[in-house]
Amino acid sequence: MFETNTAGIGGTLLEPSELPGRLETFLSTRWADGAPVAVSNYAEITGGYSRYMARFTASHGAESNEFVLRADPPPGQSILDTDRTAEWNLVQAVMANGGVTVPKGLWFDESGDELGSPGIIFELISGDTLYVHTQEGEADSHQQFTAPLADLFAGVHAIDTITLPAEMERPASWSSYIDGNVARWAEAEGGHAESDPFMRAVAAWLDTNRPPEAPLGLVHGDLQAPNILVQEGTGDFYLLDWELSRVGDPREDLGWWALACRSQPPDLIAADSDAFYARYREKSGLSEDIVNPATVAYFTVLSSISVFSSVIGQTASMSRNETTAMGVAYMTNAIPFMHRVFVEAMGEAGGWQEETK
Amino acid sequence: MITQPNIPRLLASIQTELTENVLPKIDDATTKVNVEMMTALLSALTIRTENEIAWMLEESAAIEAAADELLPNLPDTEAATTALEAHRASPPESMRLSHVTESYQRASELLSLLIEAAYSSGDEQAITTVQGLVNARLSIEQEAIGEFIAVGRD
Repeated sequence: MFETNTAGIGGTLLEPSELPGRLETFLSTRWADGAPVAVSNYAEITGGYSRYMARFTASHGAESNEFVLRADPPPGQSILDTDRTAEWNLVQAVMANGGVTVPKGLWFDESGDELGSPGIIFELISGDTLYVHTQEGEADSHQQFTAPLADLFAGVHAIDTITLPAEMERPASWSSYIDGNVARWAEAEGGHAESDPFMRAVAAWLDTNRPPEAPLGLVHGDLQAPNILVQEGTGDFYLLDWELSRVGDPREDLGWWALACRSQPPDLIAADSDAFYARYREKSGLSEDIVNPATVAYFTVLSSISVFSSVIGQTASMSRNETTAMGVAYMTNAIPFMHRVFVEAMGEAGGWQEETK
Repeated sequence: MITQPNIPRLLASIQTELTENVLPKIDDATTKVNVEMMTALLSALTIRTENEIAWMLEESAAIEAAADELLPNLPDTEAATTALEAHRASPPESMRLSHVTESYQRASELLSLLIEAAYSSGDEQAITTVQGLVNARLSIEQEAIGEFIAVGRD
């Protein structure tokens, strides 16, 4: 899932300057019955560290709409390499399920032959992300978001896995799923440019400090405030970026949220944790024994293996002089940050002495 | 050779120029985020260039001392013992960054093996000792990077 990006199947590579023209051709057959389409107001969207994103207006005849392109970036530019086909299939399944609102995935260039790399065209939802909404005022001044946020988490976790794409892996059991993730921590170090004692420590700690079991379900995998769009006017939440989704332990999303909020404050859950967890437990049916700050802290550590292993893999490629991407270089600052979150989370979950020697 | 202004001072000058004079003139959002990433990196590099070699040598010594203390009392320590011997047999050829880094990586692997041996044994005192070494490494890393706030997420 996180191999080095060789984006561009068939030798094509995403070339941003060519995209407006490519989109005009692509949309002509899908949206305008072969009529000419004009693309205007084309603007790259910054903020994501993995996919190439842009918004644009497309027009044909008297009709005009705004769309978002989400595509694989040029090789070596992303800190994550994920599968657009898997994401497209999952978005279609979530749209059909209806329990969680997502921007409609409208069209997909699976091969990348037309757009320059595999890419999805989404409807554009007007509004700002939840992250933007919470950048002013104190963390506890955004309590209007607590209940809808709990509902969003519970909504994702309530999606019946039977409705998910058949190719999504279903773990045989909770224990085997945890075993597999513990093993991933130990194995992922092989992709690092150097020995990382934190990874061996985390693997050993995860194995010996397991929390009570929870039913496995859909995990979004990157549930954080910048991936929640708050629709202008309605205030409805739209959940974006399904590239890291999997079937796993629902507490992984809660744990990942806590980690993401450390580098992108404020943490709306921590600001009103009693209210959030009470609502989440009510909606999800999970008891306090299963969902509490200590068990969530365990999953802050466990859930980060996908992103962490990808980040160290990309920085290793920089060590081998295979990329000079600034986003990858910047991630060398993120690694110590994640080390700290792991240690603090292990301290909160229990079984780790945080005092330095 | 020229030593003044020293490397941290020069890096700080570059960071200041980028922050105060280059960033305000950038309109392109992607380029702006890239420059913000550069300034964050420069901040960490300024601290690393001043301290990194000393930090690596000091931590390597602490790991070696902990290995001497732990290994006689833990079971199944063949890999860690071999790593300790390898570390001792190959001290840094010089104080050049590449040589010290090579030696530090051997010390890091030794620490990793000590962690595994401690947890495998279930020896609480040994686990506390290796956790202390990890915590000490973490303190140094935090000194180098400070607070990490993801740039460009809005």
